Amino acid sequence: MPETSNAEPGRVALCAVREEALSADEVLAAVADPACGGVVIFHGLVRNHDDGSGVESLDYSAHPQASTELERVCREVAERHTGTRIAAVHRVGALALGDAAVITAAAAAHRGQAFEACRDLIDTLKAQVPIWKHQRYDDGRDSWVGLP
Amino acid sequence: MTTSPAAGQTSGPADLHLRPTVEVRYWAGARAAAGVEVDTVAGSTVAEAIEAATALRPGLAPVLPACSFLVDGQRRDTAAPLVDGARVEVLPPFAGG
Repeated sequence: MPETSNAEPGRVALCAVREEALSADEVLAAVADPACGGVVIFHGLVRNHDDGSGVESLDYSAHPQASTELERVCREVAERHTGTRIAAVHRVGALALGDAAVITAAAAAHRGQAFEACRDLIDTLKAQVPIWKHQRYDDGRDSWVGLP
Repeated sequence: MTTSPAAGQTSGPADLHLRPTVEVRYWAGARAAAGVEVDTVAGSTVAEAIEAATALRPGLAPVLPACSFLVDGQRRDTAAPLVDGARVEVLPPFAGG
């Protein structure tokens, strides 16, 4: 039976862009499956420094199509990693230091597939989902991350 | 050779009137650089529209080379043609995660 599930396309268990605080428990429950013995979860947290400056606060904003794009990314990642169950949630709005901005997870029969799928998911999400980050620094400056 | 009074000959920059009128909508850091959410400009391609937008909003100049574009909701490059009423969206580099 596990061999069968390995050959099936991956499934998207949870996918959302939201303003509410993120829950690792929710994400883990979503990807849980009796056929999956390995679960990898990634937390992207608001850190207190960036590019050599102290970060004081941070705002994430999203394009109206961000949810649709995240769904597409999740579907494509699931297709690339057969036998996995994946989940991705991204928060928008004003976040405090230490808050989770994004959580991704992948469950698979074995750890190797789960690590690969989770890494692919967070990397592809960062590259392709239209979400932006505005940082305020402790020296009074502010910047849009990634903008020249 | 005599010149016949052709239509369009009367106004000098006739092609300006033939160019589609389009909406350019700025997101996130591009909005901050432009200082406005949206502009209405003339342009028959994305490149022409953003050139016209930069003329209106000089603050966009350093930002636009890093941006990607949607035309009526679809990802397009700067050579993409525009029709009257098209909506061009300016998306700065994504920074999720």
